[in-house]
Amino acid sequence: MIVEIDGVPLHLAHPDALSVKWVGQEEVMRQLLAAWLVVDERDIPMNPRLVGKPGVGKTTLAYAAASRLSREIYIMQATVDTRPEDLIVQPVIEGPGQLRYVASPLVTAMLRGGIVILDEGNRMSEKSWASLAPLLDTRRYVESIVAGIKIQAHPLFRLVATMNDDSSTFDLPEYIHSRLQPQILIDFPERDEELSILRENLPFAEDKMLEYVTDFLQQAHNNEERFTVRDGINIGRYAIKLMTTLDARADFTHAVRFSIDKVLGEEALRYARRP
Amino acid sequence: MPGAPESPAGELSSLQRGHLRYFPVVPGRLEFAAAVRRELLANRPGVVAVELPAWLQPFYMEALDRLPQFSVVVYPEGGESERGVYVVVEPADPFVEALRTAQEIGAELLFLEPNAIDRPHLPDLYPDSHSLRSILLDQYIEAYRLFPQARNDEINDHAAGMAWRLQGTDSTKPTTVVLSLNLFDAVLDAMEKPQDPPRDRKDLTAELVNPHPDCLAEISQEYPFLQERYEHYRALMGDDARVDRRRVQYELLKEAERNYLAQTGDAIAHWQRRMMARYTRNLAMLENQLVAGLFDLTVAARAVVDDNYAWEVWHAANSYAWQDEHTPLETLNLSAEEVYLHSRRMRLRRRLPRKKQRLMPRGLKERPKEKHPGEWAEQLDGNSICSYPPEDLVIEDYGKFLRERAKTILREERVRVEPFTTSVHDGIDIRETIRNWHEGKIYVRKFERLSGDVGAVVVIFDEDPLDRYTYMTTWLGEHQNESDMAYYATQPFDHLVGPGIGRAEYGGFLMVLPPRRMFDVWNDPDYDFAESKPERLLMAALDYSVERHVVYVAAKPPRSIFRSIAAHLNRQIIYIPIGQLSPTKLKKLRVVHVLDSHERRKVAKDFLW
Repeated sequence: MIVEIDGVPLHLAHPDALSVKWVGQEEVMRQLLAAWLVVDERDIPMNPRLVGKPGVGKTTLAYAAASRLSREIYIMQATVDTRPEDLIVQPVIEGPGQLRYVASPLVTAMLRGGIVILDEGNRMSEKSWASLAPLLDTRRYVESIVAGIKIQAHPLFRLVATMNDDSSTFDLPEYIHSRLQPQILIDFPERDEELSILRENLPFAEDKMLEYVTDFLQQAHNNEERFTVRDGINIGRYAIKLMTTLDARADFTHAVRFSIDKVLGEEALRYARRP
Repeated sequence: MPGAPESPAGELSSLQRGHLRYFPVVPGRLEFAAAVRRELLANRPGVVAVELPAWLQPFYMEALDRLPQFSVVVYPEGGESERGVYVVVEPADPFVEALRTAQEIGAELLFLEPNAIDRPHLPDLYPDSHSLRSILLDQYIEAYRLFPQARNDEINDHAAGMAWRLQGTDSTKPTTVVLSLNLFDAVLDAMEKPQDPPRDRKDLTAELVNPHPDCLAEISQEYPFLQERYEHYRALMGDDARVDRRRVQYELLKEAERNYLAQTGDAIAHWQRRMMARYTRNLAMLENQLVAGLFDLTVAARAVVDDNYAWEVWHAANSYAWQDEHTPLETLNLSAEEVYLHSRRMRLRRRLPRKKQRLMPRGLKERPKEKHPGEWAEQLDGNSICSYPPEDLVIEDYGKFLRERAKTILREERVRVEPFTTSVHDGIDIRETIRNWHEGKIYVRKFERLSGDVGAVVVIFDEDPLDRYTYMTTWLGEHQNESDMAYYATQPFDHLVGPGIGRAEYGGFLMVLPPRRMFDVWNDPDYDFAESKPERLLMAALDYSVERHVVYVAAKPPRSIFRSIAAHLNRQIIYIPIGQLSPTKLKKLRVVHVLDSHERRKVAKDFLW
């Protein structure tokens, strides 16, 4: 799709479609939706960031919240190499002496009134964040230096950034920090919620096994390990595969313990119940 | 109170049925407690009938005597059931207020609920009672009655039991009937025909306990800070701006702000206040409320500021002057969902479950407390001081980060972009090439070599114009990778967070490697030229740095004379404005714990937050 801004044709990106479901932890969903709420046409939405350990479901939550608003969703993966032009408009060589301007997923969402999930935003440098500063305050626009245009956000446009709280990150300076508010913390789920998440993701697994994996994860959370429900899903998935190849009479705990060993390492076995 | 009358006497004329004057209320809400009190003081009825279980009357009477202290009636759901029910007797509850005011005006009391069954659970979605500041009470009630609750046999039986008691009242005595708005229509309908006496239950036992002061915010309908305001207000019934939720909320946040500043040295910025106001408004709106509750206030405080501020908000909201831990009654901490009563475990539920009632936000860590005031101060050793090693690691890492950052700045200053001639140098500069596309030239980047490394690091959080940071010390690294450090901070042992563990905030610090070379910076006469603490640290940094470049992080650059001094010493100051750094990291870094002996290191982690 091509739109024209100030006489410059811009090629838009395609929205993303994932098959994910948010289970439990309705409270953080409410907090995210509250950040996006506007009460008047003079009001502007906030730009929340979801913070938590890797694997707790930040992107899933962002996607599920955006789905509830029934809008187009664009996911943009931030990396250390993400430059300002990647975030806004990229020039692509189209032919001899010819350039085509391609809008990033973020700018496409801005133009179409969609929702952009800036995934793992903390991996992006300050320079890239700086190019988004006017978008994150009352101005709600970005400027493309390469295309020489200013792009205003649609009133329905919403943004959320997800960030890991690990050390592989850049620091956000204060002027960006104050624009990316509120900060919504996603913690490890409670036991019931964790079990529901596992059940949702492993619908073909036996309840006994899911309970076992949940107990393992809860034990690890209590000991401040960084294992997450994503690890639990991987453990369960691998254990099920193992059980289909092993003797069907074998106890599932052996398969799960073996799977824990292979997915997280031997050290993690200390949190798993002995058969 | 714009739009609302001083007395609701005229408002409820449509609710008079013979000698009975109905006063429907929203349980637990302060505005209705105030309205009930105004009504009873204005009309002074002979009898006040309240929707409370008749068999709990003695316990309520005992609890009324204890007011303004909170009390809790706990009873098993039935016989030896493992499940229990708790009922909080709190000042800002309209039923409690009705009983209390009735006693004051000498009215008879009548408890309406039958003993046989527990109150049926009805959906509890009321419009925000804060709207009573803008609309009349009967408008609120009529608006609610337009969409009545679905009824079932249980509700009808309960209403019939209450109607039976009302039908037995003396018709010569004006009676005010205080009941829940969601049962009101059912009771009115039941009053249309004669009712049979309800069944009685035999195994009724209950106990009155004193809730621990720390758990009030979790169990009370309105947060204790607000109830304390109400308690003062009800005595005079004067200007009700005192109990305006928004105003009280503002005062609560200001109080939390003051405590936060005292505890952490950090002030709340204006943008944070504005952001919190917007966010709490949105959180409340999603719950169809006009004003955010305590849970949402705490959530917003954490989301916009940090956990420490959220804790201060929660803590301030939980403060209630009258609640005492030591009373003749047994004191129980009802924070959890279960309670041990006479060593018997009971899983609790509230008698009037409220959908929006939430416990403390998850992950908000409790802080350890002294068993008695001064307990930790008694354990101060005073012989030596040392640091807390995990904090040393954090600050060393940050020092490394700042050195790297300084190098990047220096490198970026030395990048040149030029048109391609004979060498591509360090690569093609795409941006410059495209910008000058019309010229048909290719532009390349060239990094110039960086001479010298980065040595000392000075970080100034606060220049200390008010002389707040009076603790000035120099400590030496304990091993080869730990820097020598000179810093100024608040007095750590004025603020104890554990036995022999003091908490202070850095005003500024200097770090320099290799260790074990630094003399006492604060008493070194060579630096007497310095006009302030940051300048003294910078002088020392230039002096002790073995590398050419010295990092200086502060809100303002150093005076220009320091550039000359640095040049004279063959040093260069790399100034990094503090606003360029992550405020979250700086906040973590700013706190320092000073232990009064090496022994404390073993237990320190249990007390630090």
